[in-house]
Amino acid sequence: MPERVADASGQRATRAQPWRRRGADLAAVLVPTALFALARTVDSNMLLLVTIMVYVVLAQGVNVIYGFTGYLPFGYAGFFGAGAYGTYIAVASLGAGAVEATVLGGVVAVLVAVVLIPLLRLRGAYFAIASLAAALALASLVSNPALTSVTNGPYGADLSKVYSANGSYWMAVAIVAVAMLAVVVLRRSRLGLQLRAVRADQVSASYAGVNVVAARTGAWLLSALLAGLAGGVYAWSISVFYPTAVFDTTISLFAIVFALFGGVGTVLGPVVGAVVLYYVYNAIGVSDPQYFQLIFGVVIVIIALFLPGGLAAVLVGARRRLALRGGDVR
Amino acid sequence: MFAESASSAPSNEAPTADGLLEVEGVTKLFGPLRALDDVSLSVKRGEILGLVGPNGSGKTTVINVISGLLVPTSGRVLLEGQEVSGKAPFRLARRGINRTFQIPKPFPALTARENLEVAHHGSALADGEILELVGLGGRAERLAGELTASDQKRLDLARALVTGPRLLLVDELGAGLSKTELDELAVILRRLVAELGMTMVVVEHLMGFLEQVADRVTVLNAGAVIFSGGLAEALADPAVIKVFIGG
Amino acid sequence: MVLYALIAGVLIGLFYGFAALGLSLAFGVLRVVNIAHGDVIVLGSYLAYELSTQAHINPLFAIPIAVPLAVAIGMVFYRFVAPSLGRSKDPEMLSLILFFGVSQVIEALATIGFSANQDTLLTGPVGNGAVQMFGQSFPNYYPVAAAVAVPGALLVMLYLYRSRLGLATRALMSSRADAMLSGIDVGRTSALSFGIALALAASAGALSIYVNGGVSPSQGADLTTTAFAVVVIGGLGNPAGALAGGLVFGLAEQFAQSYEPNWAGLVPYVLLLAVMLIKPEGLLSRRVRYA
Repeated sequence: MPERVADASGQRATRAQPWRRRGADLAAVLVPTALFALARTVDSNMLLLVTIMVYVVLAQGVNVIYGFTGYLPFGYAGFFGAGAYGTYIAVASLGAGAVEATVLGGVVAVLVAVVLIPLLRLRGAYFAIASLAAALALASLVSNPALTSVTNGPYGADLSKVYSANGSYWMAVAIVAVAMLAVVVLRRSRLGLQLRAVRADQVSASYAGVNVVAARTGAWLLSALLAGLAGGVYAWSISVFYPTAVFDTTISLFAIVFALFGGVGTVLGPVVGAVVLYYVYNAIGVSDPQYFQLIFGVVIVIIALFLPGGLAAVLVGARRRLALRGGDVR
Repeated sequence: MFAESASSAPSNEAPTADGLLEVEGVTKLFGPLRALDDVSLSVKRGEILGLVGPNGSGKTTVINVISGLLVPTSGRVLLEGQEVSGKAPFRLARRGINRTFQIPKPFPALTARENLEVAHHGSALADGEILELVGLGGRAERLAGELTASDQKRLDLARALVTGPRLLLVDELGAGLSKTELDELAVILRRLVAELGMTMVVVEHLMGFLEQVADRVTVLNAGAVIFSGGLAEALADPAVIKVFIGG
Repeated sequence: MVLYALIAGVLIGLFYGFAALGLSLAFGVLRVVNIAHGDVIVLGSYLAYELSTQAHINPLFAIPIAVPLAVAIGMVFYRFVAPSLGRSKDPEMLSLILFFGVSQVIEALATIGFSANQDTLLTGPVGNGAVQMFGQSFPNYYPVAAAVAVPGALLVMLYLYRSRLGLATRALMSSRADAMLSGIDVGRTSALSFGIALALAASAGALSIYVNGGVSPSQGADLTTTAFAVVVIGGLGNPAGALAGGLVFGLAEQFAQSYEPNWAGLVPYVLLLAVMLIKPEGLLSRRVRYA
């Protein structure tokens, strides 16, 4: 069987040439990274750009856990907050440099995810609400006055001694690259194929020899890592923050909607979703958040009722109608 | 009342060198319902055991217990003398126990070939050869969700074969298939035993199919074993006749 | 202090159970996870607030006004979304996302209509003042909340277990397909159940404005989480369990506030997580429900 393809790809029917696929994968990582690296020459609002990059990473994190496993994390902000506070503690208590501290923020989020692995036993709405409860519990823990010596409790975290607008900007660009790479590799990997199988039917996947629990846990930890890194770089760039700001449920909400809007299960969908919707938010949401929220809510309802595949599905559908040859469309 | 004819005492059948699977006194409760009641059976290497009984007699539950989907309330399942009961299906799949489903659920958005790529590969045969073997050679690149019910059953069988099972549990393969398709599958099952040395437990309603494939049968009624032996003897056994005709 | 926590826990717990009843009903009958449940409670609170401050009538009159309104809106809305839910491979997850969007819309509209600030009613439901019970002093809305919650829940029970439509609803709860084959008008029964679920949420709003010390548009998410905790404790989709879940929740909260005020905020979440992980079908439910 010479034509048997060694790596499990998402392609079907006529398979694209391996070099073409590899080129597309490389572009999916490099183009967004390069665009963000150059963006500061066009838009001088670096904090806005960092925030958008943070949401790109968060949307990709939601993509990893929801897009590949069907687990909807309402409490995703918990990992973000854990990353932000992990970074703060690394700087304030361990005296780490900002870059190492950001990485440690990602590690702390992964540790939180390890503790929360039992949540993966829950399904559907149970998981969604349980993850929210876990995030709120974590927020309540971090902001508890009894832990002031570690987290500074409700009085907020101060990272101004390592503040660096340029440093945090480049760190954010690097983390965008990590997130894009993670999703591309996951999509092409055996784990990605297994996760798609598990999502389709858990029992069949299990009899195919897939370790369902391990596969899901892998996606869960990866998604936590991305959120933790995002939280860390956000903390670094904003430098002073309160627990309510980094554990805000709105962060989960934005990340989920950005990912859904762009299209989960795709590589570029969440990036487009985050950039487009965050710019809209920035244009009208900051001064009149309620009107943005209204639009946002309507968008979610429309996605749920009419566009379950998000923007990506609309584009693919249009392409399929144009091309109608099938084959290379996916 | 069936206790006399039931060969349920494990001590009667001492494990022999060629025994592959032993089910020892397995009881499975679903709340108050006794789905399996002290079921024991053994399968020798290279044989096909037919599992028969009326609806609700516990045939599929036996398959579910052996394949790890259910954990027995008491009793154990041994593969080559080693206890496997309570192990997760994916571990059993990697240790050589696999199964098919009465209603197969292949991964609809993956092609037939990708359905096999997902699986843990324990078979000496390549995926393409397995697809040929089950009669799906020409439909490898079709999405599983677009296959006919009969082809989905073939794919389900192929998916199980890729993992290289020594023991294959086949649950109601015949349901919903035509006579010709059934005959084809009977030939395939016999070939798997003859050429790959596989061992099987086949749950089936259709006596004609069992005549073609089964070396022996075990008859279940109301969760208990009421007969073990040849198919012809089973059909002459008063307890079995009572269940199937007098019941 | 034990006695105070015990009585307050029971009284407030009954309110929590009542406030969660609609969420439980919607899930039990329709497999719909109404994330906007808390936001409907908020709308009920605003109705009570407007009645009291603009029309100068007792805020509890919000209940008889809200019930027919909510049933009508709920029925129309359910008819609108049912086709999409029916088409979906995973209707439960779709409902989760859909109602997540609806909750955003309601919160936004409430902010536009009533501003983001918290509004508090200064006059109690039966005048101001405290009530003495067993030598303990409680705000008078505690017993009022319980006195509305208990008959409200009883009415739902009567509907479910003593009426023909209720029988159809219970048939629907146990099997949608069988209900359809039995000649039950599944569409209408479902729509009505959803309407009743919303009516229960809106009614609870008239009490929530007191129990939660006021109303603000952003309260919805917290109320949904609390309601979810309550129904999970009692068993999701089990209306009788909701009341019992409310009692467990109310007592746990009151005891925590009495003895460990610093950590009381953690109680609802920890309780919810513990129940979900140890007995996901609910403390009181015997049957496993896969959600």
